[in-house]
Amino acid sequence: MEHEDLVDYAVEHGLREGASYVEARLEGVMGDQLLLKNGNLDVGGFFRRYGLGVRVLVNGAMGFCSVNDLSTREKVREVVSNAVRLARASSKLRKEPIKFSDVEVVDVRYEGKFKENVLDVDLEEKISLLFDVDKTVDTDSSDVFIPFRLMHLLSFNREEYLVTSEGARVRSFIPRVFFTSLFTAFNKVNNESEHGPIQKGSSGGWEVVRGWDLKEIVEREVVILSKVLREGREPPKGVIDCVIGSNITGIAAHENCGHPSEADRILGREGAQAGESFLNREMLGQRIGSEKVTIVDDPTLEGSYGFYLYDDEGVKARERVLIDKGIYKGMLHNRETAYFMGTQSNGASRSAGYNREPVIRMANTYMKPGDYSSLEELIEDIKLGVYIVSFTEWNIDDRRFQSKYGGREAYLIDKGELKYPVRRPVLEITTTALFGSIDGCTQEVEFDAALCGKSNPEQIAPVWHGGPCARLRNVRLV
Amino acid sequence: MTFGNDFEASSFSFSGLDVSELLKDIVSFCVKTAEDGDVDDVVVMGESYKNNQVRFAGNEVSIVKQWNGLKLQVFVSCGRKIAMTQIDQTEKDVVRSTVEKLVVLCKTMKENEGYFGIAEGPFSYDPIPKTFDTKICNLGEKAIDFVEGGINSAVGEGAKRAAGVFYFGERYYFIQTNRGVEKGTGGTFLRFTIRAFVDELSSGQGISVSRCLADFDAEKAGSEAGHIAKLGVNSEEAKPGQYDLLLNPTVGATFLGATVVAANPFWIESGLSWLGGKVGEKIGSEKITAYDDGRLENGLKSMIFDDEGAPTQKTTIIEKGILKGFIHNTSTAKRYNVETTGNAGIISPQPSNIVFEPGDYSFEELLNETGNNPMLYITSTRYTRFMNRVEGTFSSIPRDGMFLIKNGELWKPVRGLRVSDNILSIFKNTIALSKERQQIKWWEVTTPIVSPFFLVRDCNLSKPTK
Repeated sequence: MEHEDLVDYAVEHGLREGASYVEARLEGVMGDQLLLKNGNLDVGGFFRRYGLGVRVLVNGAMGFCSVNDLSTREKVREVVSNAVRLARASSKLRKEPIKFSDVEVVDVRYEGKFKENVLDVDLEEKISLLFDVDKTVDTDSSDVFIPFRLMHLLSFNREEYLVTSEGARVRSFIPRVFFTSLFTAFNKVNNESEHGPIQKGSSGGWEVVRGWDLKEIVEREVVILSKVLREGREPPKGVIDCVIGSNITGIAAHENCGHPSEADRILGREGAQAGESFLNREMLGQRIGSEKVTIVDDPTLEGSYGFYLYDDEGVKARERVLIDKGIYKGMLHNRETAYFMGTQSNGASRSAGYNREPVIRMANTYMKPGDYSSLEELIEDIKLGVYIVSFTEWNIDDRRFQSKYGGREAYLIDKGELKYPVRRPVLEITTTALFGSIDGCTQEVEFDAALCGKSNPEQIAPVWHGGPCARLRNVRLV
Repeated sequence: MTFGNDFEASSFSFSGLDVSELLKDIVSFCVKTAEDGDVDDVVVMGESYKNNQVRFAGNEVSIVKQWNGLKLQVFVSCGRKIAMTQIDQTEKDVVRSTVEKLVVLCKTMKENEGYFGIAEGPFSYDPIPKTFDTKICNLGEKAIDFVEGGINSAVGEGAKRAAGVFYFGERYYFIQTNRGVEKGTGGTFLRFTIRAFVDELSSGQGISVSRCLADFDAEKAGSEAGHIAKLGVNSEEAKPGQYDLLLNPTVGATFLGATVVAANPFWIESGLSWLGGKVGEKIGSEKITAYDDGRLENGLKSMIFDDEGAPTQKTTIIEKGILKGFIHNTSTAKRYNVETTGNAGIISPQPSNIVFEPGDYSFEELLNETGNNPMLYITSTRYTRFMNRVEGTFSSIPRDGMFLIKNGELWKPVRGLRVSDNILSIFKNTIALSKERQQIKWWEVTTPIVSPFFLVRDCNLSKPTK
């Protein structure tokens, strides 16, 4: 990358100014995006983000500064000096010095795999793709119409160069593509409506988008919306069995397990914004789900939206087991929380840009598969139940214990068979009840892409979440 | 040199640099480069900033940050074809090549049938009081003292620990278009959010935001957070059902403010608003009057011009419960046969400051307005999500102190409930507003909202069934 010499200079200058640790990260992002709204190209454009972020430890306190004017060394020097000065000034409000766990010092370069650079693809081709998808949609059938159709296509390359005062050097290049849409359908007879959101995202080049078959994906969603509006009935009340699709096991793995496993939340660092956690160190080893529940977070999944091989502290990424057969097994750590808890970082520290501090983030969080060969086998002994394929609304309290998942595509299960669609079944359930109710999962795991928000200023991280279909025994739908 | 929030800008100091000249020069260079490419409309908004943040948790500082930067937002149109980019460098070669690339890209776009140009200048702009305070520019390391003051106040009320964030900074803008606009402005801000804890389940939140130091009170926010946290000790699990809700300004800004923010044509055309086709209808209690005010004194988003360079203004959205209209940029105004309200966003209009007119109740009087349902006082909420934005069906999770009210007093702290209702029903079922108001902006409320306390009848609250 251009300006790599300034990264090294920033580290050297920070040490000269009295910092005990300096980490400088140069980031360049180039990309383009298109917004198609109701068949009209609302806007297109490209973007470039480029700059340097510097994080320091001084007298046990942490400072961070960023700059995007890299025209002279003086500008970098000023920024680094500011970071050191701010950290030093804040050390009077530190009771315990911040320290980092030890880490193997690496000097590496890696790339996310791709065949066709997203920036080499003409924007006209990308525009045509969105228009083709929009034309695919039957927006005005006999009884359902779809006046509101938003489609957003984002493709970008992210390049980083990280240097730490301990000697780590990590160069990375990761291309990513992301498609999101929101279609809103109305029943012409009663004017009732439903939303159908779609999110697809991967690391990789344009070949990934070619492989998605967006027309089919969008067309399927539209068919589902129409079916729910035409045929959807009230879901059954009372205590029943419920099967959740990978879309919901995935979001639950993310919200009910991944977030409360973030060690910075557990230690209270996110207390004022994203919140804290119902989990704590003392609960490690305790059962919080059935033995059918194993949840991991793995940044190294090739092609995943949350892909990376080294985090933004230079720590090698690996699979992290959070729940193992129902037992709360581990947290997501950066070097600060790992030191505090007497362990090693497991490489979860990520930053959304050069101008953001690295914080603990999930990457690709998912529930491991079970041993049921098919959905049919999973539901065959259910007398009365509901299969919730996907969700529209969701939320969870800031300790990540009280969750709600409002179903979009859902079907009644009657004597082991799928019957008619049911509208908006709501699973409002605690985390331990949710994971404790699962007594079987299918063998196939599917993933969805998402944008995870955390920290302050809010940082948006690309992630996957996923899982198999899972069967919950004896739950009550709202 | 003049300050206030309005400068003609020959020179002013910003981190020791002559940024205004740099900003003006680079913005003008962008406009000229675009015009050389034979575009029809061009808008360039340059922003230079020096923002600072102190994050704290466990009564100690977690990290201190500073951001210095400059960015350019460039918009061009060729006929109805439009394109945008953001440039974060000032080197002229980079700027020139980026703008030239944007112009080429614009010509390859398809026409946007909803685009109807940008604001035709020139305009005159009046300064807005209380939007710039040099004391904030010079705050520096004294910011740590404000954090310490907030934490100590929370602890003084009985909290064991506090976490939060203190933002402050200065921002300068220069806009130039090929439609007669060429203007600079600047402003400062302070935003403090603190959450105090007595134990894991007993917490409270306080907020103080301002454009000038005189109206900022971190200690008061800390006291409020600590006080609520202390009152919330030994909370009990509450039962789901129908309640009357007393919402403090933070929660009122979330639930009631959402409807005013949704008065946006882009949202309506995208299926993201429950207000489509409702102009002229009574959508809420006649107690509610609310407006968007881009010129609000001390308003966090007050600025003399919008993203097209049009002067900002005060626009009534709700008058005595009746939806009067939407915020607009030039294009949405043309589509709705009205005038721009000075709320560009060029693609989507953007709200500025939302202001609710005050009611005539004191907090104590609101506590005594008992109805048929149990009354619940909610002091904070988060994770507000919609099942259906066209209908307004939503839920949100109260956090921090939540209290059952009995005999005009906070009777019992409770926990474990979720507001699961319709956002328009809450608007309709509001029966009383307080005289007291507070400007709110925090993680959950991204548009600044001047909000009173609200009393809302007949709200549905749910909780996990297992």
